[in-house]
Amino acid sequence: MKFNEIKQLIKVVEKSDIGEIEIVEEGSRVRISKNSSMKPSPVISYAEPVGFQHVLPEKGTLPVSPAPVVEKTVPLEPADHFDKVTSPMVGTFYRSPAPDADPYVEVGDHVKSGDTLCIIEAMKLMNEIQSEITGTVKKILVENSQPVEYDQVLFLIEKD
Amino acid sequence: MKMKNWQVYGHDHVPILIHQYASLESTNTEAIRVAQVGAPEWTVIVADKQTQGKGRYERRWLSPKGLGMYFSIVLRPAIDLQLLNLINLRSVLVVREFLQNKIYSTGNHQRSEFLVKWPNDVLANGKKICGILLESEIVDQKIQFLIVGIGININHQNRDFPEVLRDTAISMRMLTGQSWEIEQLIQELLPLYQMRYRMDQETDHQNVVSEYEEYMAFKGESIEIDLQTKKLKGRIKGIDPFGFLLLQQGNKVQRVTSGDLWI
Repeated sequence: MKFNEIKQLIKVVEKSDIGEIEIVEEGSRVRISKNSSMKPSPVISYAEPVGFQHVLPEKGTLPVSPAPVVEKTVPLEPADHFDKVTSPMVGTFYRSPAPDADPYVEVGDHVKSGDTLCIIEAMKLMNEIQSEITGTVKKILVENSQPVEYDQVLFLIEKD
Repeated sequence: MKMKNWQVYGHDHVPILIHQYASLESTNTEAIRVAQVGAPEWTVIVADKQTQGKGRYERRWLSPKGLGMYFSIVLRPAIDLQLLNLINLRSVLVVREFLQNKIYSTGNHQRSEFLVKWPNDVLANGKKICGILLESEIVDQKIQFLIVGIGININHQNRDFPEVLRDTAISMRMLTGQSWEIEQLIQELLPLYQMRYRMDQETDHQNVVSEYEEYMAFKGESIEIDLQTKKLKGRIKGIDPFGFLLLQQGNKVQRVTSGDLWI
């Protein structure tokens, strides 16, 4: 879980009736608790989010190799001199506006600031993500219709 | 082919500017177009009929004239993107509240039950009466605009729906036996929407989740989520602080961000 997400969650918990929330992800556990001894509060404990196709393995069936999502967040060797476009939210990544339509961008395409790169969908809210960079798409790091996390790198773009 | 412009006022006199068309491909598409060229918040695109009303995954929302209410609201929320879906949930809650008030006000239909099906359908007596599709544009982690597209079944009779929907769709007319003046309903619904939206802004959206759970259909029941390529089974536990569905599977709770929910 990213620092920003934790900060956000703390804000939400502060303002809500939730007394304590615990989030368990692979390799990490975050518990946010209001410092209250007055009354017992309900505890919510849940695993990492699932969207399309991305389902946590059942107990006892842990995969031998790391989950693909981990690979996606590992920066690639040449990434340093490219600009990263990250996901502004949790959701499902779509490369085209409709299942049969052409992708917004392909590797090698030149994009201008304001061009649409992809859609991140969550809960029937389709968010068109636009480039703030003018340059050439060097790499697309997520497959179409895969779940993405907040701040996950989606594209590498070489600035003009 | 613009038909007319008119406006209504919310409770604190912020005007809602309505552009009403006889026919559009999709009110969302037109709302995006006007938002891109600077239309202010609370611009609303209404169409008497849509030729290509939008649903999720390029599904169509059937939109013949005189039967449904089809409109899209332009919003420019200054909200943390992680909380954007709370506006989504508020939108469906407002429509639920409005429909219940209208139907109950006829005096004869107090037993009709109005619930929300995750994420944003309104169910009347277990059948779909409203669907919502939202679209936004985001640059540099900032939202440029949010379009809330709403379709409500008003004057349909059962035979007006395509055969595949006849067991699962319902309209205000089917609930009450009377037909309804669509323009009048829009005029009443938009100020209510604006009032609830502004109340959420003032309270930092903190009441949305609890209100949503109060009216959530199938809570505690076993359901199936269709993720297109596979299905998830579990029991609905509720929603999390961001609006995502919490699905209980044995002693584990899954957070689900997308998908179609079936019982």
